[in-house]
Amino acid sequence: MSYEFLLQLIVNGIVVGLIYGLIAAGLALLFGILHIVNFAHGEMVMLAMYAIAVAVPLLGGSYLLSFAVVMVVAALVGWVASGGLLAVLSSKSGQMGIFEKSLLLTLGLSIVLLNGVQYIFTATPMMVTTDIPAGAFTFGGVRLSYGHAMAGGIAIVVFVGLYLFLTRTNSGRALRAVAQNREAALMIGLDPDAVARRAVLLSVVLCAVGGAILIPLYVFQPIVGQALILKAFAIVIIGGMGNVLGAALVALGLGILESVVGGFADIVWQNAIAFIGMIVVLLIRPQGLFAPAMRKG
Amino acid sequence: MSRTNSAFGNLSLAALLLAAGIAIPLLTQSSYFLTVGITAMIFTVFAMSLNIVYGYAGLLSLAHVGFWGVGAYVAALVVTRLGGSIWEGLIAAAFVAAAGGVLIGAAALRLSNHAFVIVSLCFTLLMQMLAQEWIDVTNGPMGIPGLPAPSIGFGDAVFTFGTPTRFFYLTLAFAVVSLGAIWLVVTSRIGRTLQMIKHDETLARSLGVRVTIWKLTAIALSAIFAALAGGLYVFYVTIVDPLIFDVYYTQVILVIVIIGGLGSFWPLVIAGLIITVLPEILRTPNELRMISYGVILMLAVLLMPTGIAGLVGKLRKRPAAAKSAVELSS
Repeated sequence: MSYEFLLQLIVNGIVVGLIYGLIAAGLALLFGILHIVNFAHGEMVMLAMYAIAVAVPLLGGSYLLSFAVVMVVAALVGWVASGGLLAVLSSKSGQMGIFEKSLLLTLGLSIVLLNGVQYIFTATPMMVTTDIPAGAFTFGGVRLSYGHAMAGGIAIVVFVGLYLFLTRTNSGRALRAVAQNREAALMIGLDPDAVARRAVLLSVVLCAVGGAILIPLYVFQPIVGQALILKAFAIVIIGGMGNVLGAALVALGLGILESVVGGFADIVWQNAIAFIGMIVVLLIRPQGLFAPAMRKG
Repeated sequence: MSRTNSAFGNLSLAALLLAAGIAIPLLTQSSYFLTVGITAMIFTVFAMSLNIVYGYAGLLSLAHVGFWGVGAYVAALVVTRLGGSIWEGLIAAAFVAAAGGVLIGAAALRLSNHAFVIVSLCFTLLMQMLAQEWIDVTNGPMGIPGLPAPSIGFGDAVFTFGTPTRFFYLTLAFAVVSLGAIWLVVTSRIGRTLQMIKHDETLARSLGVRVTIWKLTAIALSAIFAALAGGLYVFYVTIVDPLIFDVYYTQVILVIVIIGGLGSFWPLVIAGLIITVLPEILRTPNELRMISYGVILMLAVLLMPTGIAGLVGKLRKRPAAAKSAVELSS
C-alpha cells in the first residue's frame, strides 16, 4: 500500500467523476428547469456508447471522427425529442402532474430502449477497438492511460464550455433564470418553450458525451445505463435537486471516493457509497449539499 | 368505487371471482394453465400493494420490486439457512420489507414526494446489488435454488402444497385474504385519509393530519403485501436469484395500476388478471413482451391516464359515478 497507489486511485477517480458529472448535470438541468425526471437518461448514455461502437468501424476506426458524428446525431435527436417531449408533457391528460407523467413515460422509454438494444446487439459485453493508442502517460509512479487522459480532457473542455455557456451567454443565463424563478423569468419575457427545448437538447448532448468518452474505459452491455443512472440520481439528490454545479462537484467527489474505496475494500462498498451518501444527506441536509434554501415539492 | 357500489355489488363480484378461482383447477389439470393462474393472482396482489401507496396516497414508488425481492430473499433465507418454515419466512419477510420501507420513506419524505421516487428506485437497485454481491449469504448471481414446497403440519400429518393444483389453492387463499385485508384498509378511514393527503396535502396538514406518519404507514403496509407476494412467488418457482429485482416486475405492476385506474379496487383486480394472462394467450416472445409492456405503459399514460376505472365512470354516464371515478383516479 503505497503513496503512489493512492495517487493512482485518485487520478482514476477524477476521470470517472468527471464522466459521472456530465451525466448527472444533464439530469439536474432537466429537473431544475423543467421539473421533470428522465428515467431514460442512462439508456441515452448507453445508446451513445452503441452509436460509437457502430460508427467506429464504419469510419475506419477513427475515434474522434466517430465522436464528432455521434455528437451531431445526438444534437439532432435531442432537438427533435425536445419538441416531442414538450408537446406530450403539455398535453392535458388526467390529473397526473408533469413530474409523474415524465417519469412514467421515460420509464417506459428506457425499457423499450434497453430491450431494443439488447434484441439487436444481444447482451454480450462489447469492446470497441479504436485508434486511441494503448500507452499511458507516467508521472512518477502514476499511470494515466491515453484513453483516460482523453476522456478527462474532453470532459473538462465540455464542463468549461457548459460553465461559460450558463454564465456568459444570454441563452445560458435564460436557462438559469427559469431554473431559479419560473414566474419571474416569464415576466421579463423569456420564452419558456425555447428555454425548455434548449435544456433538453443540452441534456441529451451531455449524455452523449458521457457515453462516448466511457468507450475507451469500459467493456459494456446494454444494462450499463441502469448502473449509471443510480449514481446520477444519487449525485443529483446529494448535490441538491436541480443544481447543476452542485451535481458536478458531488460527481467528482463520488468518483474519487469510489475509486479509493474500490482500491481498499470490497466492490460492494464501492457501489454502495452513492446510496449510503444519499441516505445520509437526506437525513442530515435533505435539501442537498449545495442547495441555497429548502425547497418543498 | 366502493362508496358508490353497493355492498351487494362488491360481495357478488368477489363471490364470482372466488367461484371462478375455485373452479379453474377442477376444469384443468394442465400445470401450464395453473401456473398462469398462480402468477396472475400473485401479480394482482403485488400490483394492489403498489396501489395502496401510489393510487391512494399519491406516492409513486419504484421500491416495490425491491420489497418484493427482499421478501423473496428473506423468506428463502429463513427456510434454507435458518431452518424455519415458509410461514415464519413470510412473517420475517414482511417485517424486513416494512422496516426498509419506513427507513427510505422517513429519509426521502423529508425532502419531497419527488425525492421519494428517486430514493425508492435507488433502494431497489441497491437491494439487487446486495443480492448479487453478498455471495456468502445470498449465493450471488447463482441464486438459491431448490426451495421446498410449503407445507403445513398437524402433529405427524404433514400436508404439502407440492402440486400445481394445491399451490393454486394456496395462492387463491393468499390472494383472497390479502385483497380482502387491503379492501378493508382502503375503504376505511385510513384509505380516506390517504386520499385526502393525495388530493391536498396542505389542507390535510391544516386539518391536523400527520401527513408523514400516514404516508409511512401506507408505505409499510404496501411493503408488507409486496414482500408476501414475492415470498410466495419464489416458493412456487422454487428459486430466488437477483433477477427477482428486475425492472420487468416494476413495469408490469405499474401497467396494471395505471390501466386499472389509480386508486381503484375492482378495475385494478380485473386489469391485473387480464394483463398477466393476456401475454400468455397471445404467446408473446419474452424479448417482445418487455418492449410491449414499455410501449403499453407510455400509451396508457398518454391515452388513458384514468384507466379502466375512469372509462367505466364515463360509460355509466351517471354524474355521481363519473365524478367519483375521476376523483378516485386523479
